[in-house]
Amino acid sequence: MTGQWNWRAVKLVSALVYVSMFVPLLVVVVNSFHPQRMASFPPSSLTLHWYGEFFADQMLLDAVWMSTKVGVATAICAGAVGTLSAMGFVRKQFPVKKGLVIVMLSPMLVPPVIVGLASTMFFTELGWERSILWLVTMHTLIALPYAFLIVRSRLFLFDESLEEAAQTLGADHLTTFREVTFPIISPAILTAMIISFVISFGEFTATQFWVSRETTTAPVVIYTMLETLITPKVNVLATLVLVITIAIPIAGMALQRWLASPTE
Amino acid sequence: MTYLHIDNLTKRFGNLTAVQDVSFSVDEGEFVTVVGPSGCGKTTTLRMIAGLEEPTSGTIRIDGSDITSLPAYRRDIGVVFQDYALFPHKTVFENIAFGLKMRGEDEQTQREAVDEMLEIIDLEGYEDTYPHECSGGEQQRVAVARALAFDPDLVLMDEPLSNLDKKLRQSMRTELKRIQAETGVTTIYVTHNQTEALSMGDDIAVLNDGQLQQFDDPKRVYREPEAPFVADFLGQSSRVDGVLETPSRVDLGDGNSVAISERDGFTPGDEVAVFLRNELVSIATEQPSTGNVFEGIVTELDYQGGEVNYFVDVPSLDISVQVSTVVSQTDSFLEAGMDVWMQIDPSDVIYTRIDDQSRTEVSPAEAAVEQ
Ligand SMILES: Nc1ncnc2c1ncn2[C@@H]1O[C@H](COP(=O)(O)OP(=O)(O)OP(=O)(O)O)[C@@H](O)[C@H]1O
Ligand SMILES: [Mg+2]
Repeated sequence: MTGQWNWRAVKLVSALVYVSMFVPLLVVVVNSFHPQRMASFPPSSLTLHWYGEFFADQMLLDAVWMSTKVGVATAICAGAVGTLSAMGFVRKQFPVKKGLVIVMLSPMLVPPVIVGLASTMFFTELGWERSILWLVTMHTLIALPYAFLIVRSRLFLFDESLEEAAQTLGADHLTTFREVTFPIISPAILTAMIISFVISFGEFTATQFWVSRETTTAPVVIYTMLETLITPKVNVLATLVLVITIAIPIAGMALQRWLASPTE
Repeated sequence: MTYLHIDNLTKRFGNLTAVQDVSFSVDEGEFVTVVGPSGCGKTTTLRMIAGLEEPTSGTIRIDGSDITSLPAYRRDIGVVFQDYALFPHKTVFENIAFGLKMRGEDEQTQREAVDEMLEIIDLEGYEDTYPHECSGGEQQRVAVARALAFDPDLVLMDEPLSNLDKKLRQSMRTELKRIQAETGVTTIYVTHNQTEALSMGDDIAVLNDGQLQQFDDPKRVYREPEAPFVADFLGQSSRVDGVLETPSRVDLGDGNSVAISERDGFTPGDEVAVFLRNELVSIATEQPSTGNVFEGIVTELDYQGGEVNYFVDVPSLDISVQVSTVVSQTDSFLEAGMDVWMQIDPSDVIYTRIDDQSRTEVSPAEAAVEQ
């Protein structure tokens, strides 16, 4: 009996957690269709008015576009660097490997505000102007631990005799990677890239230190808009960020299904 | 004609010597089995030949040329892995054609070679299936086909049948031998199964503790072992140590002796280990008139369908012998406590010189019988 009650309690708590997570999101989405400026919930009717205003505002469109570009570039960089470093850490033996893993993971452990502040001071010292390259570099650094961990855990499960088989059949190391290793671990690399995109796309705390007027990103704009002017366009922007953040992983999972289908 | 030549091959992993000074030669088209207990260095030896492990010292030559320092992908050696290692994301066709593709062969050549292989392994029509859609036995055959399709100089197989059930294993043995005969490719086949080694090999390499104990044809390895380990490992037997009295008789101490058939290289006075193989000993209630005869007492019996295993104590030799006999329904069984006669032909008595290493250890067969 108690077991059953415990189980019910677990279900209830989980439900509460999810409700408290999704209800505020739902409010933001619904409010983006709210006719009044000062939103009372629930709205009496729905309108696309703010969407019209949003798509007329070049600054907001630029911010979404900037976030998308940086996110995609980050996904590619973190995916590539994460894969290469995971290969190195899993396959090669070298001294101070354990210590280096901690260095690799440190961007995940240091508070983002510190990462943002410290890197800004450092780059400014070097005379490096804020730019999209700066954003991509730093977002790659932040996303890298996640990409690294995802690919590494896949490589731990990888049957190395497949690579040895390829070699006995005449494939050199590069060909072995291209023909065997990469196709098999590609779903994990894709996951790493999606996660990297999502991290980059939503990163705010550190990113606020890194943007300039020209390179401002959607989350930073959301924050600035709340600080300075109250306009329901911010709900539209938030909704859009939300949609992209959800749509990309779903699209990725579909792609993954398709990639993995022959080996399932 | 010697084709593969292995010379003083040694592999150390840190302090552990996995393979020590192993030398043997294999003729072209020969099927050699490598057998030995777990951890004796079979896989390591095979991996060095394949180029997947770098030898600490020693040389490997194929057809006269030294390949010791060539990377695996530059050797023309096919390998069948224990877990098959088929590429999961490639079809059966792509798997089998892989070696040819790596050698830059065109589609047409690939297709012809794969078709030929599929016919040999009896899997026509499987081109477009994926490995996970094949049964264990089918995957096994695809792995063999992949290792053979690019016409390698040599094929290495590391316990390729160990993942299959007993019945399938039996039929795959015959199948593998047929494929090897059909393609004529020189093959080295690793197993830890004695029966498999004896039944499949043209020659057998017996390894123990990283060292080659004997390299010979199955009959000689079985009948004329060169080390007690070999006699022990290849079949169940009881061991009695003694001294060669005449070229055809061994003194077993306490007034016991056993007649043997002469072998070259032995002189009276040699210390020898005598092995009475279970399957070569017969049991009777009347005293037999020929051969070596010992008195014994049945201590236990164990029915296994049409076969009965008798455990017989032979007090004069201080051993216990296990004898299997086929019994029909009308035969009367012997019973525990009965006095019986054990008989073995002199030519069936197996003996080997005792080397220093084996003098002290209890032979596994003896230990097993004593349990
Ligand atoms: N990469 C390695 N690093 C360290 N020791 C190893 C390595 N590979 C093998 N060994 C050791 O070398 C010895 C021989 O191993 P090997 O795999 O060749 O044995 P095997 O005869 O194939 O055994 P099995 O029948 O169990 O497959 C073992 O003691 C093993 O632990
Ligand atoms: Mg092995």
